[in-house]
Amino acid sequence: MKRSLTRNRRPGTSLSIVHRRRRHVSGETSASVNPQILSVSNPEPQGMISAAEGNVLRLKLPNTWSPSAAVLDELRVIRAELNRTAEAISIPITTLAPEPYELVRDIPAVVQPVGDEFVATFFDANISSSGDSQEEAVANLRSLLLDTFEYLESEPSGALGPEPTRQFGVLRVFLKRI
Amino acid sequence: MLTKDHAEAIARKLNAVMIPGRKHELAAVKFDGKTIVQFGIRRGSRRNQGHDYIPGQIHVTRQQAMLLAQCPMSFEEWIIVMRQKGYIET
Repeated sequence: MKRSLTRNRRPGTSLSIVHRRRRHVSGETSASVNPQILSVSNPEPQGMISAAEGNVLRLKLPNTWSPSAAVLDELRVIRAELNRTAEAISIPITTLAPEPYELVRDIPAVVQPVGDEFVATFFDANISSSGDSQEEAVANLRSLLLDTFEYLESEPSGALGPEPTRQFGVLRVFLKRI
Repeated sequence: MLTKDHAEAIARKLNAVMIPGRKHELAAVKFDGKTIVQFGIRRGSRRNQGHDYIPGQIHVTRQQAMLLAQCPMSFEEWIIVMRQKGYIET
């Protein structure tokens, strides 16, 4: 994807564009973007690259430049895209208290940012939920694991297809009723 | 983003049985008397709650999930995909 910020430029103020893999957008005059996603073109003579170190690129623009709402909106879209592709982290679920279950072993939940939210997944059982924060996503996954276990347990044998049968088998390895 | 509205539309499209849970409603999809997939729909009044995990739960791509939610993909077409992937025994 190629994006250009130059169409929104106004002469006067300065802009520092910093390319990094994980970054945040703050303030009116600075932003960090992934160079694989964002390509900034700057054909005007007063623009110049002031520093290029590794994957960090600093671009100086005239002092009167200020980012328009369109630029900020574009940067928010880029941030959402970066969040979606950011690296996942693994958070073990170590307890199901106060529910009447005990864990035979920790459940590895993988939490990934997706847009403005987080998705927590127990990949072995292919069960996922989401939340506004990492904590909420894991809490939602924890409760959904129990809901799923109880539902699968309540179904008569032979009433589960191949995937729910497999999921139930996995869940029984990890948790049991007290 | 797949929203709660999309999730509920998918559940309706797949004729899912809704089972109340703790923080979710569990949508169980049955075919030939057997549950073939189930997924959670988060409780809460916010209609824009993200449910981007649902495509993985129903074994389709994100685009196919949107097609299910927005009508172009039918239940029968989804069943064909499930058969092809082995989630329904033939």
